[in-house]
Amino acid sequence: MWGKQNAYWVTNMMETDVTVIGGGPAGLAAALKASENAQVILLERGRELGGILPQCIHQGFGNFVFKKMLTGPEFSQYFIDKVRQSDIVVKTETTVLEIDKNKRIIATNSAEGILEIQTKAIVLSMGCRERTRSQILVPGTRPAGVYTAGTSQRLINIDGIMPGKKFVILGSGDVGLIMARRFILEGGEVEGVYEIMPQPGGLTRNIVQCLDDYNIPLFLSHTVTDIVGRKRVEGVTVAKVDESMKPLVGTERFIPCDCLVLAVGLIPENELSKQIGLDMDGRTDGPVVDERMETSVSGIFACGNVVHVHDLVDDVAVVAEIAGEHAAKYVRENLERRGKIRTVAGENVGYVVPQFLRGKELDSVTLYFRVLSEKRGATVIISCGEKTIFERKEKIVKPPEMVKVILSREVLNALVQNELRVDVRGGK
Amino acid sequence: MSESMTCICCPLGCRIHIEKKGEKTQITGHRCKKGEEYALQEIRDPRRILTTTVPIDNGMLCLLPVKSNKEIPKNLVKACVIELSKISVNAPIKCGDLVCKNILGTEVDIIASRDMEER
Repeated sequence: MWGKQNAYWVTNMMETDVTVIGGGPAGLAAALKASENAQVILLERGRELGGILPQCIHQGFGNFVFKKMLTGPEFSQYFIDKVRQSDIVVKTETTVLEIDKNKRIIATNSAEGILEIQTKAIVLSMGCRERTRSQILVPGTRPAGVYTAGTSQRLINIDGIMPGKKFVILGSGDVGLIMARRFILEGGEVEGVYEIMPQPGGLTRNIVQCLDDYNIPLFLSHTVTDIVGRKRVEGVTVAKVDESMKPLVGTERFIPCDCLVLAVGLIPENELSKQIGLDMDGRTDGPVVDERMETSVSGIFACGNVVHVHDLVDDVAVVAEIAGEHAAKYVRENLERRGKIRTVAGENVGYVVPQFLRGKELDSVTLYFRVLSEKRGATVIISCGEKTIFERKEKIVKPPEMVKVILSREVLNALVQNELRVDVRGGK
Repeated sequence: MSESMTCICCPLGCRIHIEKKGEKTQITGHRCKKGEEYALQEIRDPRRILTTTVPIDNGMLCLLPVKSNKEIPKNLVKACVIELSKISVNAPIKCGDLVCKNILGTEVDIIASRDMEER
């Protein structure tokens, strides 16, 4: 039959309470939590659940949620097992084509054709994707052998394919650092990691255990200015950059290599969010959310890297449970939307999530934010009008490490103004 | 003998210097007790968790991710990866299943880090 939108010939119609879009760590945790009190459908584009975790075979996940260090596959296995034991309807290899504000979802897979799902609440958990060569405009020819770090990770850890012999890595994001070690252990050679910023993009732990352990040099304030090669990468030119990140003439150096790996950042994947017409935050590239992870459209929630890129999957699991819990709650009793308090990014703060607060359900609210520049001995100050409601001295703050502040219900209830300002003042 | 390293105990990432003069070890640059312990461990017996993959026959995927159940000496990481390249396993596998016992005499076992169903 023709679907209600008349744009698709719908072969299967379904109804449910909560539909979760994306089966990575955010979607898994949200679906599980929602399923405690609601009927849940989980839609995943890929062949299996887990999102990026099955290819992140290294250790370093779960320190907060499980109080032990797990690998990516182990972390996702826990949630996948739980989902299998639950009554969540899981559809893998299923792509969502459209969502409208009335919460009608059009999705497709090869077994069922076109599905129309009428749902009462939605959790968006599509995650993020990597920035590619064309988004950072690296000059040069277009040969084979230019990969994003995540693609090279998938090739090596899932498909068993070595993407090159001699690697140059552009960008020092965590996946790039992790892959530097992986290339070496799989018999490759890594000439160096080149980072355009004056400080590394990844966590210190990864700089030490992935680069220093294997004597891989890290060149800060450097970038790739040319890619050479006709069919296959034959080499790249690197150069130093000045403070405005412009390459400095005379500092160019040619490096023969057959593979250039890009670890130059992640972008939340929000095509569906934009299509629905959700209010977006230009600084996070994600939808604006309140402390219950509800977006600007009531009954549509978002969590994980689709909202903003997290450093740790543990944080994702925590906010995803909040999203799942409130999606189920919305289905039963609707969520109250009282006065709206905006969170504002002040001095040395790039963004604050959630962007606004408007409920009374949570016992405490965690604010997540990133600083713009590294400071030692700075003070985090959260204020409402003239009144300081929270103050904490930080040994160090840096852009790659998200800062968290927990505000108690007592503090929040005492707020009189409708603006909560986050500043990171002082420090060197 | 002298050595420098970055401490990974907290985000401060102190640059720690270690001077060895005969029996005496002098550690400078750290800001806390944890940093000192980290530096001592790193010069006496540095250890790492090993993670890699082994080929799996008849599985949903062609590789099984594995890890060491304890930390292994850092200088044996590469040798262990080479040793594991000689091993292959058969699906089905459960997360935590033993893949290689007492690898290279380290008294550390290599275990599966996910389930792998049969194809």
